[in-house]
Amino acid sequence: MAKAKKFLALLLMLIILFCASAKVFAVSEKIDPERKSSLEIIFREGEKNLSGAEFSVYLIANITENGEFVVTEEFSDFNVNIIGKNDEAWRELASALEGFVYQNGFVPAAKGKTDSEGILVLGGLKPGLYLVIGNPVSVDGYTYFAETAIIQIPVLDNEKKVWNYDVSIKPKYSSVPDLEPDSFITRKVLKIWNDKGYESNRPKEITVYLFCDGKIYDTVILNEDNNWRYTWEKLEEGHQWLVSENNPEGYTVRITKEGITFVIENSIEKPKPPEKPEPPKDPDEPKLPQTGQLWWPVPVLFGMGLLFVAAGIFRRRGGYEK
Amino acid sequence: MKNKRGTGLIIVGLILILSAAGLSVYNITEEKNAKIFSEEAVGILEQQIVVKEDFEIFENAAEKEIPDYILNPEMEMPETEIDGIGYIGTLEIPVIGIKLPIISEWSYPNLKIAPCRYFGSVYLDNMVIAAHNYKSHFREIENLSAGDEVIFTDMDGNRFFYSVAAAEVLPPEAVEEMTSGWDFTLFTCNPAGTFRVAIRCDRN
Repeated sequence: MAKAKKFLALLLMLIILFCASAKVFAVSEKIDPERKSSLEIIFREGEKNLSGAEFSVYLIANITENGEFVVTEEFSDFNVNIIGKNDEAWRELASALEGFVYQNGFVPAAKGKTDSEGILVLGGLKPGLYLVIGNPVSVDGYTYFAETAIIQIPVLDNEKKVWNYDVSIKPKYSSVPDLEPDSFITRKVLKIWNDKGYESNRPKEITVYLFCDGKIYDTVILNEDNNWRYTWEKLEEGHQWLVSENNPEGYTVRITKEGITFVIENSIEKPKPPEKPEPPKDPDEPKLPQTGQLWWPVPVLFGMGLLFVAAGIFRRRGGYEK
Repeated sequence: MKNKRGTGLIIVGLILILSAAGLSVYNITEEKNAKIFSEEAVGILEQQIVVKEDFEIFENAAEKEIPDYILNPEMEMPETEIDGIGYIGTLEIPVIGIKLPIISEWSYPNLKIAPCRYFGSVYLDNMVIAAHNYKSHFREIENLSAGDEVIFTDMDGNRFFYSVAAAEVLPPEAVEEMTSGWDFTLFTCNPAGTFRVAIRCDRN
């Protein structure tokens, strides 16, 4: 429950900063949390209709009549760490949530494919906060990847100062030319622990999932032995590759993509007081290692030896003379 | 009587001379073995390391490979084990013609095989490497001069280029001084073993 509250707080903060509509929140009418709502998705590139693209929406949080979000039970275990309040932070959050959805096999609140006009209308939704995930679609020799987004229903109509329960979005996307069947890419995952001084809290290992278009493709264990990292080679191009992890207790997670590397950063939440430092193993004053060979005794031994031999010879000679 | 005493002195003298010879043989053998061990190890490491040239240029920034150490400078340096000993990379100093493997953790037995990391990480620009003053290891580093090139290659194939910036002579107790303030440090003993010669380098 504490986690849910924290998540909620983070989201709320972001949403207030993000949505211009929130500025006039106070003067607007109350929201009807049970009102039948709909989401229209218009997926087009200029004049080209991107039809046949499948979109799924997942309810992240319900909304109260005062416009507050209450995270759904499913998403309450997700302990995310969002830095910043810009579009990038939103993309990061959406992408991390997407991994969480795949990892847990959540059932979408609604799904469907865009029609010949590139339009999909999902009706019968409750007001709330939704994660909108699109699968890649190939149209006229290009594969289109819709960017996963977080959408609020209802949105405020700024002119009429009323809540609009039929929301329309145009997802952002990227596209690549369709490839030869044998085009491959590499993806890496790198874990960063942000828990200096509390390393003993870390789990011994972490399970990371790689998803291909939303389906589990591979599972790897990251630990000290593999330096908390892994590389997948020869992954087919033209698919959407994404990672998520088993969220370690007591840590928040942040997943970013830097080049071909997914960086999973876990930060410790509430540090316990640090353990008492171990007493130094060597109570003596530490010294730099001795990196010289023992050469100095060689001339000393040799010289002394010569002296002894000479003295012996002298003695023996003296003995004969007397 | 004097005759006997004279013989005794000669025998003691010969024992001393033999000890000197024995110690010399021991030292020479140790030095020779160190050369063989480190040459073997560096050969194995070089086969394993795939050197990364400068960042590959992709048209698509999303397909660019960013080295892990840039994404996380705090990461442990990757190791490769040879005969149960972990190595973190190779060190080259072209001007004195050495190329050596670097062992991850220092100990006296390890120092007899190859130079060892004494402190730090190349990713944090604070690494210190210790080695014996064997001819094949660090004896020649005192002849380096400012500007000479030093190259460290990690097990991921990332290459780090340094220039010699300064030489220092430190007493054995100067642990703190040895391990602070420089991007990269190499040290070994002076011939008598009473001081440490530190070569300080700046990252290029």
